This record gives sequence, C-alpha cells and structure tokens, in this order.
Amino acid sequence: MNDPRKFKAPYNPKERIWQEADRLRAAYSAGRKLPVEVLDLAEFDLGLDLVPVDGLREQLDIDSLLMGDLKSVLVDKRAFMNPRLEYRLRFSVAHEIGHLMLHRDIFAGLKHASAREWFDYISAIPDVEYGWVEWQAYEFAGRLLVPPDALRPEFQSAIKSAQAAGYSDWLAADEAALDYIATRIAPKFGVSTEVIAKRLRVEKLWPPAE
Amino acid sequence: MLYHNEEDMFGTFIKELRAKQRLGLREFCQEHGHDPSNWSKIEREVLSPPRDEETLRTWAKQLGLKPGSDDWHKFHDYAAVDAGRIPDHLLEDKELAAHLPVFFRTLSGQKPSREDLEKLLKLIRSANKP
Repeated sequence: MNDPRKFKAPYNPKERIWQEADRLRAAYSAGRKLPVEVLDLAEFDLGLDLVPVDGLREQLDIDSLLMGDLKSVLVDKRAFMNPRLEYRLRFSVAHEIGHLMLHRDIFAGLKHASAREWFDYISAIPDVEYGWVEWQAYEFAGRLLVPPDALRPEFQSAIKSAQAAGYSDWLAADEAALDYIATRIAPKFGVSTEVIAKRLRVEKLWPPAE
Repeated sequence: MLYHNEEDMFGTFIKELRAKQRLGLREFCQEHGHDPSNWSKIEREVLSPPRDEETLRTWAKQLGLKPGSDDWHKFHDYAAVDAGRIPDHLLEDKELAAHLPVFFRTLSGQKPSREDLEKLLKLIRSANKP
C-alpha cells in the first residue's frame, strides 16, 4: 500500500479533461443527445451497475459515488426516484464517470485489506490533493453535460431574451443578468443554473463581448 | 436468445434482458412498481429470485419475454436453479474493503470525516446484504 501522505493527484489539466469528456460524449448515442442521457451512458454504455441506497444523501450529503471495483455507482435512492432532484443526480453521476475516466489508475493501485485500512488511507490523503482530484471530476462532469458547441447558440439566444428584458449593461448587471440567462439555458442541458453559470465563465462566454 | 456461461445466473440474465431494451433501472422500476434497491439486489444476485410462479410470469412479461420463447424458458430455468439459493458470492468484509470507494463529493465539498466513513461503510454493507 502506498503511503497516503505522499498521495499526488494525477496531472490532468483542463484541456485534457475536456478532451476526455468530449471523446466520451461523441462515442455513444446517449452522449450525443441533449440533455446528455448520462444515466443510460453509465448503465448501458459503460456497463456500470447503478445501486440505489437509502440514506446516502440524508446521512452523508452524497448523491452518488463510484465503488473501488469500478463496476458500480451507489446512488441515493431518493434522488434516484425523485424528479425534483434529477439535475443534481445527473451531475453527480457524471462526476463519478469523471473519476472512472480520469482516475482509473489510482483505483487500480489501491486494495484495502480491511475497513480500518480504508479509513486510515482516506484520512491521511492530503486535503489539497483530495480536493484537486475532486475538482478534476467536477470539471469533467460540467463539460460532459454541457457541450460547448450546444452551449454557444443557446447562450446567444438567451442573450437576445435578456436584452429584450432590459439587460444591456452586462458588467453592471453581472450576477443578475448571468442568473437570468443561465436559468433559461439550464433545462436544455438538464443541469442546475449554477452549473450553466460556471460553464459560461469557464468556456469564456461570460461576460459577453460588447 | 441470450447465451450464458455456467457462472451467470438469474440476476445477470434479467439485467441483460433489461439492457437489451435500454430500459434504465429507474424507468423499469417506475413503470412496473418495483423497489429499485431490491431490483438491483436481484440483478446483482444479492437476493434470490422468487419461487412464486405467478410473480415470475409477471416479471417475464415486464422484461418483454414472450410465453413459450427460448428466453422465457431460460428465465424460468434460471429462476428454478437460483430460487432459495443462498448467495455464495456475497462480499466478505475483506473483499468489500478492497472495493470501497476512495473519492466522493459531499455537499460541503469537504473530505469525509472518519464518522462519515463509518456511516458510509454501514450503507455499503446494507446494499450488499439480502
């Protein structure tokens, strides 16, 4: 077992993460639809078992997680069956797919002999490295669910609606205008307003050019 | 007709039947009123199939099988072999430990505490017990 205190997140710059997400989306019909059919992608194309579990969210604030055998994703049963939690669940499953695509090698190198060893290992991973791995999966999920080629025209269309609604000084009305626009775009991609707002900034669409 | 090796059982077979139709676990359970946790356990062979013939016939139809077809017979054959069988491949604690997750995203974005990990271990065990 490697020393967890020396754990280093793999080097995955944003461009590489985007490439992986784009490649996966393009490879399967479930990925080429909008919203991306991420649960079908997980279940049928990547062959993952979705395992609904009671209390995952209630007790731990977790919607889903990838098991170390890389064959199953635990999902909170309530989120799984409740349409109101659909967007969160979709993002969370996309995030777990991100771990599968980006961090397979980490999992392959870990075989805990006991639950105690597992506790000790995770507890000893430096927070900054743990956070970096999580960030990578987060970025993957956003890119997977919000393809930039589809985001751009939706954004242009939402800009026109915003202008018609009276938003014209983008910088002055930054947060309000961004929220207005993201709210209109989000259902198309089956993600939250926050995810769209983040994608618009990351993809350098926001603030709009004068 | 779907072909299986000797290790494949009822759960694997019904999962393949569902996958052939690309009917997600959630959609299938919603459509037919199954509890998704229990159905998942049956597909993963944590739970044995029912012995009751009526239930089996209903399930076979829900999975799109035509009475009398090869897969219909295979479905019933697998169910007969597996019914009442005590799953022999439930994850032992040692094996479970090797499969535990490493990274997971909490709402707060924080690394899980030891208390969180203990709770999680209980939930994972529950997902792997009949």
